Amino acid sequence: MTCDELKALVMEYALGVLEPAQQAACDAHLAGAAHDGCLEALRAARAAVALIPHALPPEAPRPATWAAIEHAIDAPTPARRRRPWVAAAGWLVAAAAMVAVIALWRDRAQRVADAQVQQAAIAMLQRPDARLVTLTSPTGGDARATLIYRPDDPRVYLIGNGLRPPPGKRLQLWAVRGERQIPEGTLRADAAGAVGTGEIAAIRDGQAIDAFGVTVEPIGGGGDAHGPVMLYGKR
Amino acid sequence: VSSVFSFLLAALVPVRRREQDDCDALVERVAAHDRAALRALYDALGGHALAIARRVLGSHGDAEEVVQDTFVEIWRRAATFDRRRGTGRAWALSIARYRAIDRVRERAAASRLIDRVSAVGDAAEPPSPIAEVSERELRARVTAALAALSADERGALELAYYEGLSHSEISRRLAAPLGTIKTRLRAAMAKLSSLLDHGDAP
Repeated sequence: MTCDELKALVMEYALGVLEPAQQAACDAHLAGAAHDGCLEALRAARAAVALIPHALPPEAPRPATWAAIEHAIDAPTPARRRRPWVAAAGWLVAAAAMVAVIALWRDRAQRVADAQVQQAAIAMLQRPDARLVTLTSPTGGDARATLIYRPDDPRVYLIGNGLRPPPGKRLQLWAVRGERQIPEGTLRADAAGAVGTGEIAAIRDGQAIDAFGVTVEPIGGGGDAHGPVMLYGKR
Repeated sequence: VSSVFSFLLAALVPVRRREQDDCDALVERVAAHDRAALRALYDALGGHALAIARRVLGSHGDAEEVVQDTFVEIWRRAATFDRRRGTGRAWALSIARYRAIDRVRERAAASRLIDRVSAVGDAAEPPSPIAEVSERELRARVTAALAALSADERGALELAYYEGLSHSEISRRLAAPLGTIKTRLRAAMAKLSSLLDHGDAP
């Protein structure tokens, strides 16, 4: 891409409407060192795009919003964990098969309990202060879930797939804060492994949480040692 | 004649230096972890960030939380700001814009998951009342510039800005040819840019 080509597209680039390949070509050109007026055109284009919301009447944020910002910036900046969680998710396939078997045999009581969890998850999702975090398998496995939580409420819900532990194991929730990994409650999922729930006390306690995780632990095991990471996602 | 000319020029040039807060310098001070600068930036742009978030989210979330996340992100990422590549105002407001758009997309993804499990009711909530107004003049001029666009141009521009759609996505949404959408957006942006032609960028 030449400087002239960039300048021909710069307004649409700043607005964000280019298709991914074109956007990437512009990114690559702008990452270069030498330019013939590109940066000036980019600055002007971004300023023009920033005018668009000025047609909306500004609204004064609540005082609590500034207080929350100050609280958040006083918390330690999230640092990369030195040692990535050791992960081994080979059992996921077995878990998925297990889920299918369990789904065939679940009884009425289980179905009622499942429906209650599903409804509670939906109820939380519909609250305006609900927050969502996408959790994925750090090893590239198929497990994927959306974690729903809200401030001051320790309950969390996960909606996704493969949320059942393998036989003899349980799923443990974790809150990650900076370098610290805080063990939280057990994740209890419905028979299909599609909706799960548990408690994370760190949310209720107002602690700044940088990420959430789910690990596979032996039943009855505890303490800080933890098993393979099944799901992980940053806030 | 020259005084008439300068009067006209003053009337036609909406974004003049005197009206600008120096957001470039504020963001650079935030990069040095100057909390007073963050507060000044918040006072200048917090209301706009909230308006953007409310417009993007509609009834689908807490706009105040987007403002909170935006300014925490500004605090953490200010060192990446480069005034040669954009104004401080544009940089900060684009964070609010994309934070809000991301939240709508996350929520839509979760809703699709939930739809599989159960029927979901509509959780519409009335928007909050409009609060304090500032920068009236700039708003009046931008509003006038947007009003001068054709309805088609404005519709395409709003889908681009508030929903973060690409050319082809807007084309599908509006059932209009891709070339037409590109033409509309270029015309709309050219008219907006003309607001800035005689002043330094805000």
